[in-house]
Amino acid sequence: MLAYRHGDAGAFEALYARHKGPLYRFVLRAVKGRALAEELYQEIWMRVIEARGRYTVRAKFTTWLFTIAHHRLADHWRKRGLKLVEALEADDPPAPRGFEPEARAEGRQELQRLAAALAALPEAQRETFLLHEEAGMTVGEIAAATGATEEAAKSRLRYALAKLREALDDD
Amino acid sequence: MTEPDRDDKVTRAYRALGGEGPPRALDDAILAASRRQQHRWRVPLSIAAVLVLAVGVTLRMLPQRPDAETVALAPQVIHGPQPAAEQAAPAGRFAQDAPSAAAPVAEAPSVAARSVAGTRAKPAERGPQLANESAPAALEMARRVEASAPAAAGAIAGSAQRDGAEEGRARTLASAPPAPGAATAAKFPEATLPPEAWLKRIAELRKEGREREAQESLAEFRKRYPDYKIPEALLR
Repeated sequence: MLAYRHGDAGAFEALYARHKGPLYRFVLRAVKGRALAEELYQEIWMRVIEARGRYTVRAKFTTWLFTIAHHRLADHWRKRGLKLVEALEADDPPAPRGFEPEARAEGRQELQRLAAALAALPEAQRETFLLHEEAGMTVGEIAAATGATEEAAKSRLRYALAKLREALDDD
Repeated sequence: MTEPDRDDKVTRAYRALGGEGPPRALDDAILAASRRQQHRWRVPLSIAAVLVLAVGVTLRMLPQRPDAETVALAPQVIHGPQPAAEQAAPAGRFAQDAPSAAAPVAEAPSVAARSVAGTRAKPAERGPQLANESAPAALEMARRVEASAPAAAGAIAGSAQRDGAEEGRARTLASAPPAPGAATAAKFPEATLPPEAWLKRIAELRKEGREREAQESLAEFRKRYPDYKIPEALLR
């Protein structure tokens, strides 16, 4: 990022190539609707580009990137009247979202249950789980990126894992 | 703080859901935006660099104001190690500087003296250039310095004697048109005048009917200043 900040356009391409998949899946599985996810995904990268002049090496780039993503998602949820911290599950069971057609086509009930369970998680728990799985972030890094305490981040992750495990075991 | 237990079954199942990425068009749009931003940043930077360069070049091309260095050359003509009458005369470029340079010296002799003293060490490299140029205006300026700023001239003379390098340059300057010798000076007292005054004196001789003296003086003048453009009226 520092190289990009100092004028190396190729450095951004390398960064983008490394992080685009995890970030895309993080956003896609955090919100409802592919079109919305892609819009948010593009906005997050635009914020990264615009913020390059302010970038300083205080944490891993991944943490910085997903902090920006978290803020953008928080804005989105706020506009929709949702509180990220303690968002409740929707009344209707949500449809699985953000998964490859092949995964669904496999007809494996286990995966479908997992997808549905992930979509049904409260926003904060889902975000914590996705940051853990997609960005490979530790509880401490998740806490830093989301502005939560480590205890809260740890608690969210535990709840998320428990619910997802329950869905997988639900034969 | 310890990490919560990882659930390998959940992780494995999650990975099996697939690892799709953004569509190509989205990639292209974002990368293009990153390049545009980079370019946007460089344009004002380039403009600023060009402006700085342009201002620098313009400032360098402006005619230089006469400085203390220029003033410092004048006294050598008068107060060098050789007698004033045999001194070399500096030059065309010097002559261009003379009018504006002489004025401040005349108005502020003590300033001139300080400038001369402060800058004596610098101008050594100008000698050869000056040696190829003609001297009359510089002589005139030197005379004005002497007349209007005795204190400055005295300081200059003293400092000139202390500096051997200055003497060397004075000798370099001596390759300019030869100064009149004692015999010439006796025969043509006007030869010690600056060229304009000398020509004026020749014209006066003519007016007084002393044609022969005028002719001889003019011949001597042409010998000393072969390139000097003599007014048509005097040639007739």
